Amino acid sequence: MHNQQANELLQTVDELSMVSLDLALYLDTHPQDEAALEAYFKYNDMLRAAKKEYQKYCGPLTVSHADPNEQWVWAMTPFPWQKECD
Amino acid sequence: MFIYEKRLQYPVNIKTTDAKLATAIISQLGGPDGETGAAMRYLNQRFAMPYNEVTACLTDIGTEELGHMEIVASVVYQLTKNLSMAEIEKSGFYQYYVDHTTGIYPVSAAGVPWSADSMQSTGDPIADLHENMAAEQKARLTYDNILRLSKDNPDVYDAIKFLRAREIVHFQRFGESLRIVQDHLDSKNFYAFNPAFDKNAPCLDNCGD
Repeated sequence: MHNQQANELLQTVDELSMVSLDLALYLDTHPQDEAALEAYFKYNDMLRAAKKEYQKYCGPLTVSHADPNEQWVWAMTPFPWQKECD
Repeated sequence: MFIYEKRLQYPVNIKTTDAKLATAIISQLGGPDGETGAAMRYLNQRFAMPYNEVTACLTDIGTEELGHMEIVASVVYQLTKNLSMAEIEKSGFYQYYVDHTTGIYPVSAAGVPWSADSMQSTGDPIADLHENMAAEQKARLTYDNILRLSKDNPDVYDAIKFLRAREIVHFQRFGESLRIVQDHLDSKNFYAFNPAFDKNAPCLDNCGD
C-alpha cells in the first residue's frame, strides 16, 4: 500500500472520529436530543467501517485488534508522531 | 479504564525544525494552562460530581486532553528532531537540552516543571466547573500567543489552530455542565452550598425559619 492511500484511510478515520467525539460531547450535556443521537450512531457506524479498512492495511489501532494470523504487528508499526504507515 | 488508540487526534507533520519555537510550545504540555493540567483536572474532578451527564462530560473531555498532550508532545518532538549542536546552541533550547536532551519533559516555556499547584479539584461542582471554564479560556489565550509566534511555520500553525478550536468547544460544554448543576440545586439552596457535600447543611433544612 502506498503512503498516500494509507494517509487517506487515516484521514477518514481522523475525520469521522472527530465528528463522533464532538457529537458525543454534545450528547453528554443534551442526552435527549434525538437529532444528535441519530447523527452520532450514523457517524459512529461509518467510523467503525473506516477503522476496519485502515487496520486491514496499516495494522491495529488498538491492541485488541491485533490479527491472530500475523506477527505482533502492534509493536512494529510506527508510532503516530513518527512516519505514517507504508 | 483507558485504551490507547495508535493515532493522533489531529495529524502532525512538521517539515521545518525550530528549536526556539519548541521552547514556547512545550508550555502547552507542562505549563500552568497546558494539556497535562487539563487532563489531570477533569479526570480527578469526576469523582465528586453528583450528576452523571456532567461526570460523562468530564470523562470525555479529560480523555480528549490526554490526546492533546500527545499532539503537543509530537509537535515538540518533530520541531527538535535531528537538531545540530549549532542550532541547539544558538536557540534558547540549550537550557532545556542540558537536562532533557531532545526528550519530552512537561515544563512551562520558562522551564518550570509541571505542578498540580496549577490546577484544582475542590470537591465542589460549582467551583470546579467555573475553574474549568477559566482553564479553557487560559489555554485558548496561550494558543493565541503561540499562533503569533508560529506564523512562519505553517505545519505548526495548523496543529495549534486545531487545539485552539477545541478549547472553545470545551468551554461551551462546561458552561452547559454548570447550567445542569445549577438546575439540580434545591430551590432552597439559593446560596449555592456545595451540592456534593452539604446535603444536610443546617441552613438548607431551616432556610427562612
